[in-house]
Amino acid sequence: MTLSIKNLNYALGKKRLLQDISFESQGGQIVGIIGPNGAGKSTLLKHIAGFLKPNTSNILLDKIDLCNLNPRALSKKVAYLSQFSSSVHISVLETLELGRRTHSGMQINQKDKQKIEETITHFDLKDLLERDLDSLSGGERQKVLIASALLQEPDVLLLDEPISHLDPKNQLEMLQAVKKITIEKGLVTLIVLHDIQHAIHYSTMLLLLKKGKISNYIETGQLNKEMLEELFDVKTSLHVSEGHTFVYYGHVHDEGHRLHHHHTF
Amino acid sequence: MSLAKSYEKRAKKRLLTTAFLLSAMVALFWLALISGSGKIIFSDTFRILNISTCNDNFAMIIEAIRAPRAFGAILVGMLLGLSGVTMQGVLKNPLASPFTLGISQAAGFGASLAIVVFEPNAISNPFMSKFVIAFLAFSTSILCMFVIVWIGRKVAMIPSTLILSGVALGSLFHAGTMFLQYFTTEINASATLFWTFGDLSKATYENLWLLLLVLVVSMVVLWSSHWKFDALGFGDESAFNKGVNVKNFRSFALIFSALCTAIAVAFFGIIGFIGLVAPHLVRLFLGNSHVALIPLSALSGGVLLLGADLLSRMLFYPSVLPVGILTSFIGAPMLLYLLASKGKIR
Repeated sequence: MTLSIKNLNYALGKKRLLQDISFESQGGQIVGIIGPNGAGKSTLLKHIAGFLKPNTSNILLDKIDLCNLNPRALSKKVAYLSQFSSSVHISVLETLELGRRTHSGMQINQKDKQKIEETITHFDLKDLLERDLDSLSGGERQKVLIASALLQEPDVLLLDEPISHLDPKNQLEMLQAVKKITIEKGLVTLIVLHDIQHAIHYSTMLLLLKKGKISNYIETGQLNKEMLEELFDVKTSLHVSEGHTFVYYGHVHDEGHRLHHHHTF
Repeated sequence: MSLAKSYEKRAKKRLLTTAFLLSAMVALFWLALISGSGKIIFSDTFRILNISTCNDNFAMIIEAIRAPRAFGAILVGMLLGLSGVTMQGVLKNPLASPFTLGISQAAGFGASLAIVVFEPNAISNPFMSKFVIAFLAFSTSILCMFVIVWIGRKVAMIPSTLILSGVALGSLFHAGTMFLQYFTTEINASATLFWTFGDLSKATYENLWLLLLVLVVSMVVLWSSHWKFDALGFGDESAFNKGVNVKNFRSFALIFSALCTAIAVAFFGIIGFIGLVAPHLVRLFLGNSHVALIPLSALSGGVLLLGADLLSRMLFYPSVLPVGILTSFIGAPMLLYLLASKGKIR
């Protein structure tokens, strides 16, 4: 499974939001997309999800041009979780069923029920089934939405800041679950993250996006401080401890700062 | 809670609500048949059961007056309920109804135009004269919806634009009606005014068959898309990703919704609040899942209008209040009560 994007351009009026975006990603890989606000991260995902139609590009999944698929066919290939979610008063069970509709249509059959059952077990949702989606906590809600998206049985999973509103424990659980499912099902997963720490720890590849252009597309291990400084225009330092990389921004050591942090250097 | 158990529980709840609404409808239908002259005559039940052996007068009253009126109430109520739930669903707005989108005002204008310009009273055939009014009322309301959809398709069918276009068109048609009323004779002006009072005594078997046809077709078409309404609740982008062609589906659902309202309003005049309140009532019990919401909103619309019509026949006997006045009288406070007490209108 290979997702390949070639020369993707998008302009809104005179503003060029995406310029010559080309990259490839393989099944089983998580691509972390990072970049400052307005870099075009969401716009890129929306093109792959098909809401925005490029005029001169190819978005290919193996040999299939995703731009030519109708919404129903596309939803069986690509699942997308938007950055914003509106308030809906339907139950968790109905939300899961909704994820299955692209396959089932109006009537859920035995096979669909079995898939739903498996998903419930996988994400441990059995106690939530009858709850109203709006009554759930942020973490539970996000879990249900991802479960519903996976019931589409997609090849590509697009997540736009899926953990921004979650507490640390839920953030870790969510990313853990995404990583597991990506490897198990061989998905091509693209995930927009604001937390570079998480991006470094959970992604196979990193796509650095600035002003609509790819500034770097690298294996996660190749990330260095110059790339990040260039990307975010802030002073950055990388620290390695016990095999994990940590990022500090704007780390200037003046007098007050030193007192504040009890630094020893 | 296992999946099977959840399914069972949900099915039970839906079945109970359906059974409740159906029995309410049957009970009200029976009351509608046995009530007359301002009171309910329970002994008439036995006469209705043996209607073939009854005297001609009674059989005539039941078959030609009370039964079509009661069927009319059910069908019009169901059409308005279906229309309301469709509009609220595709526009993601709890206030959407045939009124907010200007459909009713457009029908009013069409009917006024027919009365003032074509003077159907001058047509000797009474069937033709009614038909001319209904035809123009129907055409203008469908025209109104096509204009809304046409404008909407230029802006990717954004709900707020659709609603505002509807509001604008509603005022435009209302202004047109007032213009006609101002310049025509007093008799015509009062005829146009009376037309707008929704009134179920206009029911005949001919127009009822037409209503039934529209109801069945729209119900099948809209109900089979129930999950697309649910998907739209998550926003247009999420709905698209669940496999819904949002722009096309929204146009198509709105046109069927307008068809339901237009056919009801064209024959019976303007009956407010049923389309708005019926879906909210069902939501209170069953939530927002459209597989149950769509048919049950129609059913509860039928029950509400049948009940309202019964009241309108009894309250001020010997005057029979046009039911359109009563539905607004009851519907408005009912909506306010629901809003204030439950906070669950969504």
